[in-house]
Amino acid sequence: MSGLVLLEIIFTIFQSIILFVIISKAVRLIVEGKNVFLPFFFMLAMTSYLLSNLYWIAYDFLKPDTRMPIACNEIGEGAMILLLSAGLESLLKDKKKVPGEIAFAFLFIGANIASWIAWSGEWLQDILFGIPYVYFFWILIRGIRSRGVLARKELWFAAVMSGSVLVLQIPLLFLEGEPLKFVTMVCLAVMFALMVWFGVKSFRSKDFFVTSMFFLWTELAMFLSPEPYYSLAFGANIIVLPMMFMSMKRELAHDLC
Amino acid sequence: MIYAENVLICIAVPLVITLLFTKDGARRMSSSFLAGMIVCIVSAYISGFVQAVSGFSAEDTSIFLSPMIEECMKLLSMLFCVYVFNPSDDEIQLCAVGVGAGFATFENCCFILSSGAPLFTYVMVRGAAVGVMHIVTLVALAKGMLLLKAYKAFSLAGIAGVLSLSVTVHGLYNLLVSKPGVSSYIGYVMPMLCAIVLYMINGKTGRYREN
Repeated sequence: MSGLVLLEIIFTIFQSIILFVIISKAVRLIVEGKNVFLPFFFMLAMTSYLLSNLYWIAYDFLKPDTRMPIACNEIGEGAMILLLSAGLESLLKDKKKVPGEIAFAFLFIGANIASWIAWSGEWLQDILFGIPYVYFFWILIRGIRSRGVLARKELWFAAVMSGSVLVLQIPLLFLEGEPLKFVTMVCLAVMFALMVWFGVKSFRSKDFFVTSMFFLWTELAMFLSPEPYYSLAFGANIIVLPMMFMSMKRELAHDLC
Repeated sequence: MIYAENVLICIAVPLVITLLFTKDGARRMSSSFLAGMIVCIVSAYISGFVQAVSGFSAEDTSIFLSPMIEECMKLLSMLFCVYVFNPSDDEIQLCAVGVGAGFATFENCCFILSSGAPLFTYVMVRGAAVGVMHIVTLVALAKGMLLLKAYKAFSLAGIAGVLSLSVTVHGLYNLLVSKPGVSSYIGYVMPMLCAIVLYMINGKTGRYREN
């Protein structure tokens, strides 16, 4: 087992502990609260994420240095995304299907899927497990726009920044040497700058949709980053989990569902 | 080598006869139990077919493919029940428990017939771990469906999410018990822990639905 895998396992164990605490708190919310739908689906989503982590750790210990033929942990992550989407959907007051939003969700996640395929070569798996992300992303855009949590300028800023990360991924496929290093650094700088921006916005607004968008961005950044930047995105992914729980709890307090 | 169809007929005939003399909940429970056994044998056929087509080893099929096939089949039986019979919330839960119990019982019967039952610990593990796991995944599935229905949010995303969660639980269990040692002990305990957590949540969501 390599040092990098060991580091990932340590991160995953730490994240699992955080998830366990969040799940326990969500169970308490279900037992004590009047509205059980959102905490129940949040709890199920976090349980899926925890199980996905446990699957990954168990696989690394039981079958070290072998690639999974079918990644069951990806099913767990897909479950988490779908269950979060179901929970968030219940908060959506305006479910209007704006073609522009749907197209952007399809194009953006589609481009992400293409880059995953370019890296792994697993066509079927990446397309299949990418579809929930399209739905999740659309729900988040709809929620943020209909609630007016972010200003129009801010939405454009996020769209341009996230789009440029994907555009910068294209030359990475054929560049070599110094240009490759330069473009990689620019791409990572844009990606992490947007992550920090989402982090600040989530902290300020404490809105469940914005926090979930921050979470989604940390996930996508993890998939697009090489080590050691992967660990950095992983760290941000761990930090966003308690933030998501707090914003979900805030939704219950406001009794918006 | 066992003849699973013969075993199914042997167990199913008395249950079919009970349907003639029971009604309401008891009849629904027996029917669901029978459906669970049929779902189990169909899942085994599909797993065998996929194994042959994909070229996976028997171990890889059991770890990676069977959880997906079995959970999808169980979900299909639940969806059939929901859409065809339009049951009440309690009937959905009854159906889930019945299908899960039928599935687990038939699977256990086949395993015990093929491997024998000389070791009490082995039999206990099969009953308390695998048996409970099939019920737990289905009850979680039913709980999710009931809540989606209660909030008029019966969406594909919700159903697919709960199904994927069941697949992950099942897949993790199969992975953990695939190797002897500490991991297998964790795997054996996992379904019972999930059952306890679900039981705790069941009371609360049950009270919510009554209100």
